[in-house]
Amino acid sequence: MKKYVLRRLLQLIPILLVITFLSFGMMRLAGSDAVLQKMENTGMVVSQEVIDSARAELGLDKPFLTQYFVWLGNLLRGDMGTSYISGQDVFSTFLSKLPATLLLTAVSILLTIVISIPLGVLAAVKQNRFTDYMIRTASFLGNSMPNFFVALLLMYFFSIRLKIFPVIATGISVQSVALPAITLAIAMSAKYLRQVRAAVLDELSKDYVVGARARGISFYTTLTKSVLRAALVTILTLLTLSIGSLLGGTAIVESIFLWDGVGKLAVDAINMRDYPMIQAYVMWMAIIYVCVNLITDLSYRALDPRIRLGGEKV
Amino acid sequence: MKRQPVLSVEDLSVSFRMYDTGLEQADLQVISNLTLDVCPGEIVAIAGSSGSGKSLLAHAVMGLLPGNASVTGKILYKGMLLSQKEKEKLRGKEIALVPQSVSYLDPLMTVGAQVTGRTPDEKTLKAQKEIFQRFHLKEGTEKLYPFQLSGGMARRILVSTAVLSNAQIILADEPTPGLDLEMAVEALKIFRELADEGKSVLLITHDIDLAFHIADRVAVFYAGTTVEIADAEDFQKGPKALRHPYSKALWEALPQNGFKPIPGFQPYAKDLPKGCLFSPRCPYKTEECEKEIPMTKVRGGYVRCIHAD
Repeated sequence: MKKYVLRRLLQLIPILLVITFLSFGMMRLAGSDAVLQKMENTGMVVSQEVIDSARAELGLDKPFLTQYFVWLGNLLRGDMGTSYISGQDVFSTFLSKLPATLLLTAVSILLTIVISIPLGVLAAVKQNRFTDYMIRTASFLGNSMPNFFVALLLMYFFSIRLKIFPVIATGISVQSVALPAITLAIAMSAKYLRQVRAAVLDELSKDYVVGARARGISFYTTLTKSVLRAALVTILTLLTLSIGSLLGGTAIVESIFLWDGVGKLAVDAINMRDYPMIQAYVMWMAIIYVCVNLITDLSYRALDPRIRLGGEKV
Repeated sequence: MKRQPVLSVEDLSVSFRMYDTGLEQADLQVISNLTLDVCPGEIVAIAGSSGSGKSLLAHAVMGLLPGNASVTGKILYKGMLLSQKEKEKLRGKEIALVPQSVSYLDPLMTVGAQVTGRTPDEKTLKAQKEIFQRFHLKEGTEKLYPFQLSGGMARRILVSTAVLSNAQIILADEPTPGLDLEMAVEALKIFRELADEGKSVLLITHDIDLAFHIADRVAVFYAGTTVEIADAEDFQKGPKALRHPYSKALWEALPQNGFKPIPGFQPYAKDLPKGCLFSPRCPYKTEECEKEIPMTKVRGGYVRCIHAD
């Protein structure tokens, strides 16, 4: 078990190497660079010499591979560099944006679970009846509305009409996180609800459910002790992917609500070709996905004895 | 002496509502006018080819049919007409099922919990140990999950579950495939003992030989109805003692009796023939056979054939 976790974490090393190299290369292929972007933004016309010296200062004049290894060397010494744009330390800038993203992720995932699992199970149990149709219609609506539209609707009702929540986030607080979290949760719940329904229906159609009924076990017991547990394996896989992408920040929702998370940071960094910042973001994403997947795999083992005891045949 | 049957099925018909072509729905009648009863202390074997409605009968009695099934006719337990609600109350307690496939075991539950329930008492645990021993299931098997068992072990678990339920009636839906001869005989011996204690067993099986030896009576199914119900002895004696042409054909098709097939095949539920369901394949067919054929008593057995004597 410990060995397994360790092995999975060691896999991070090659993953990080490949992915940082790729992103390094891609950003350079994208054309322009931080110096040009900065000049453009100030609207000044500057001579080539100024540009060249600014590039030399950032090390952008060196060959591509040299640049990568310099960056990698610094990284190994624990230095992620300074932002080309703000001049601030990359690591501490990134760290300062994390709490907002973590909070938004946690709240929106919790909301999604609380909404989608009960409704999905209810829809499955009441398959093709009124309740099911209502839930599916709601899910359809939720699916068809784009995030920004939901965000604007919520702002209109809750902030302008009812004045419960602020339009713009005023720091990390319950009031501020509510609207962005609800916006994300509506879209995700609409999607998951159908997945939960399908997973539960799939389980319910299996022979062992009939077998349990034949043994005189109540439907409710079978549903909660067996069907839900089995369905949870499927649901968990989907949720994991969402947690990963949420931790990477949600640029649109973050921009609408001016929520100061890593999503916005990443988009800004890409626009400005702020290479060290982008590298930090890419590494963060890789680490998240490896860790979240690891946690998911570990929870499969807890849920399903076939995975936990796999291979231990008698 | 006429005994009171513990389970009687009268004129049972089961049909499924299915989508035919496109959005058109059609009713598929899979069991028609089936009649059968089981007395206390009796093993009734049900023989018949695949698709003759054997398992469906068991599921209809247990109230396990899917939502698109409609059932007419009567199912009585100790003289009491069973509604779906009552079936739900009785199943697992008074009526137990040995399901046809090992996939009926819950993959996320240890087999012990499935055999004895989640919170067994001392007595049940003792009984479970005994039956596991009889079935050569090693100590500790109860702590395993179904995926850790071989097919034969899982099959024995299914039989144990029904036996431990202490039910009055056991519907054993093919309990023996996958078992070696010794274990298959052991399973049937356990059923015999239960019957001798006054319980009843409905044994659905393809192991016709074994069934003929262990059962008291045999019911032959064809295309979703009973064509003959007779003492098991008659089936050991051979075609002369039997009444229905299909029973005779079935007997002659057994390997030790000549392995002789008859032409044609069992009709599909969608296009059942009029009157006698066997008539298209029957050498004795007359015009009369296209009318409704009732079960009649002939030489101590029941037969659904106007030509039987």
